[in-house]
Amino acid sequence: MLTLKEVSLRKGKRTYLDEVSFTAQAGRITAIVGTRSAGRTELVRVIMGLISPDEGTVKLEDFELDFGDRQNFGYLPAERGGYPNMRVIDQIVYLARLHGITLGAAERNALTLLSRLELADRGYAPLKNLSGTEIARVDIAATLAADPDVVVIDDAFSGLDAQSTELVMSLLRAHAASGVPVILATDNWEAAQAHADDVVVLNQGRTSVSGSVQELRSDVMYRVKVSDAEAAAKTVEKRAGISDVAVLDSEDSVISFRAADAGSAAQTVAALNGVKSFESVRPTLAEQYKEAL
Amino acid sequence: MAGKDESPDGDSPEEPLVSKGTAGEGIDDLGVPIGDDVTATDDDADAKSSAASSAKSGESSKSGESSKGGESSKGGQSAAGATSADDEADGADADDATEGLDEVPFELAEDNPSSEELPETGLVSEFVDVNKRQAAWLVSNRESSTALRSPFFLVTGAVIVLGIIAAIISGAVAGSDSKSGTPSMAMVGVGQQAAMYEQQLGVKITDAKDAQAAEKLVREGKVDAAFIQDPTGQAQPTIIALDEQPEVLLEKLAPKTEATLLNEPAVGDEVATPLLWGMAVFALLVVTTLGAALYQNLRLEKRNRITEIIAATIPPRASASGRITGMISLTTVHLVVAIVVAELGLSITGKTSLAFAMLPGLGWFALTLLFTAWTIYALLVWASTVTGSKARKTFVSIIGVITVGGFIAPVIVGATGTVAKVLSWTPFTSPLGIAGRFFGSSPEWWEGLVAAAITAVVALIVHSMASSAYVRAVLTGGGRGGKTVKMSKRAKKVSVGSASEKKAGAKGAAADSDSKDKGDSDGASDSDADASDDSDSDDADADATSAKAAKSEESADETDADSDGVSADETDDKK
Repeated sequence: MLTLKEVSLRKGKRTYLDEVSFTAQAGRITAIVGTRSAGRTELVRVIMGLISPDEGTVKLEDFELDFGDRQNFGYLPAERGGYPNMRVIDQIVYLARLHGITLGAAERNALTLLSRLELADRGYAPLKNLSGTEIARVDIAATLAADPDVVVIDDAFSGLDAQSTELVMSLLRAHAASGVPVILATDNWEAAQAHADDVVVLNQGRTSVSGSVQELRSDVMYRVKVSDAEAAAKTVEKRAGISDVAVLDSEDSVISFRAADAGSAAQTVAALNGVKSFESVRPTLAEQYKEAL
Repeated sequence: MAGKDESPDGDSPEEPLVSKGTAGEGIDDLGVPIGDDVTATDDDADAKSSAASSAKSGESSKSGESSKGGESSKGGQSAAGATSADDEADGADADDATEGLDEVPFELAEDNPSSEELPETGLVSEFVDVNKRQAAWLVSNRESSTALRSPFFLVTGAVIVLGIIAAIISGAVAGSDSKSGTPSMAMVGVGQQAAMYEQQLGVKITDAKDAQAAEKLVREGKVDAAFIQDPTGQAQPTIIALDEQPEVLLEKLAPKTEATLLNEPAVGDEVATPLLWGMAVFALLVVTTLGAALYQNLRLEKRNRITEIIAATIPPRASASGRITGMISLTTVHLVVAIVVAELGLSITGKTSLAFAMLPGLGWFALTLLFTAWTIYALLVWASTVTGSKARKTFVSIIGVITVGGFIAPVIVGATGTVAKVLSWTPFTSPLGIAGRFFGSSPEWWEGLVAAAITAVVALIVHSMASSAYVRAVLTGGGRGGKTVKMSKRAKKVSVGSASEKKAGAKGAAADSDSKDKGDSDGASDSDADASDDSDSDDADADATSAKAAKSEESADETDADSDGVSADETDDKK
């Protein structure tokens, strides 16, 4: 379990992180999600000890981490590339051995990971001969080859196509399942929703929302197709005083609103004119995030 | 921390994973033990554990939970009990199966861990403590092996070795040319006394009838010169030659009187000067080739953020030291090869005394060059951490000028005088300076030691400062230090235009528009910064950089650019 408590980072006049707190549970994948300038990379660097926060602590199982305590953290920064002229397997073995893993174990793990990432036939090729998605997979293999105690990947889905994403995520899922906190920083809401167990939403350096994906998506949103969305929105707004309903979105002929319960939603829909269809949907993380903002 | 292979609840993962490593699952499944010392009891135990593991997997697949810890042992026991009836038969099968393998020596048997020993991830965890020195060695090993494989290193090595061999061969040929043949001379009317003159002078004498005949012999090239006496005996005898002074012959006729030198040079001027030039070229070749490889590698690591991965894993100081020591080890290889080839070559061509005379100079040259190379590599590490391409280029240029000037100046100045003495002790000039002095004069024995010590101290200081700069650069994310990133006007225009277009287009797209929002000017500049850093186009002009940055902004949501200013410093400086 990796715990960040009230981490703040300021440089000059700018505040990059403002009292960010969350816990990445062992065995679960935690996604740090946010738009650009949200402070994801700074947060990742604070976790990895590359930047010292002005305030706050980073703890691994109640032990406050100091510089040099992260030798067996698997880390992959946002911008990557590796050594273009180095053979893939040499690269993975080299980076793994820096963690202290033995040569034999590093080689064995490299082969295992390359096999799982469907790169077994590319192990002895120079990195520059690989395609973009293959290089992205090699980066993941290099991150995991030392069997790290904590995995931290910035811009986790960068360079991965759909098939590669599935391969990588199954590998990360397996790694998380072995009792390791896996932290992914991304701006890809859909991928975070699909693959993470917990989500930390960062906004302007602050934790906007955090919790499990299930919890965050527990609210139900109602979507009604009407002939006149504008009039329907006004009707819903009028009913806000009567029951706990609120308009979320109104576009063309579709109006979305939130209601405290199904009964309130049904009453609200009944009050609308020109209803063509009506459905209850769980908002995506992106929609939830927008609402939270 | 929760132990690995154990979920937070204490249960093992929901999906039982199959190891794809090189684990010996196959052998375990077959129930085939390896080794000669396997007894029947071991076979039974293996068979039981194999059955237990199969029971575990069966149980987990039924219940949807994997079994570990207490559950697994229970399951194992029950499964073992359930299968005990089959054990004897299985044991017999196993015995049959091991018959062939019993002959395989233990040393040759593949070390395959059993499936139970392997974790669920299929990854092996065998760790050793990595201290700073070992970490530095790992980095150093990679640096040196990468440079060793580089064509530049191989070409440089080949040029140096071939150059030394060529110099030795050409020297030997020239020497043999000068020695070949005894000088010959025509004399008029010596008759049978020619043999006596030959013996006395050590010159081959050819008898000529008269002065014309002697001159003819000279013109035909049959003799080097002709000794013609005045028939009247009034005038001095004359020596005629064709087109050049017959130095060797004249020396034989009138040997020079030479003074005894108090400080006789170990290596003659005719050898020392070309030798020093050769050493200067050698030093420049080695240092520039390896230094360029080191610098390029550092820049590559910074661009690709490998620096961060390494810094998060091992102490950055060890990383910096590893790079420098890697290159020093290759410099040592170059030096040893060059000196061995030169000394061997001289010995083989019969110039053993010269080879011995050169040794002190070459030795001090090697030692001081190693420390000087150390200083230069440390400076290059330092230069690679400097933010801003202009400042970096200036830094590298200064290092280049100091290196070239330092290696060439002592050769030009010469081996004698106060200036030569000072240069032989000064860092950068000391390798050639001290070598020149040991070749040309006889300095005190401790002067080489002083030169080496001064260079070593300077190397240590520069190394320490470069390491600190490297640590600072790595641990502050490229030394951005809260800089506000400024965009060029052109990039701003492009970014504003594209942002407004995006906004207009994004109205229709609902939920996921957040992730594609490019309106943030800070973010735009971040992208700008990263693009510039990635491209590392030192030679690109500002406009090109800005345009590229603006273009890169369009793909900003793919390249997480919220690392505000992480590499912004470089772009900032570019502009």
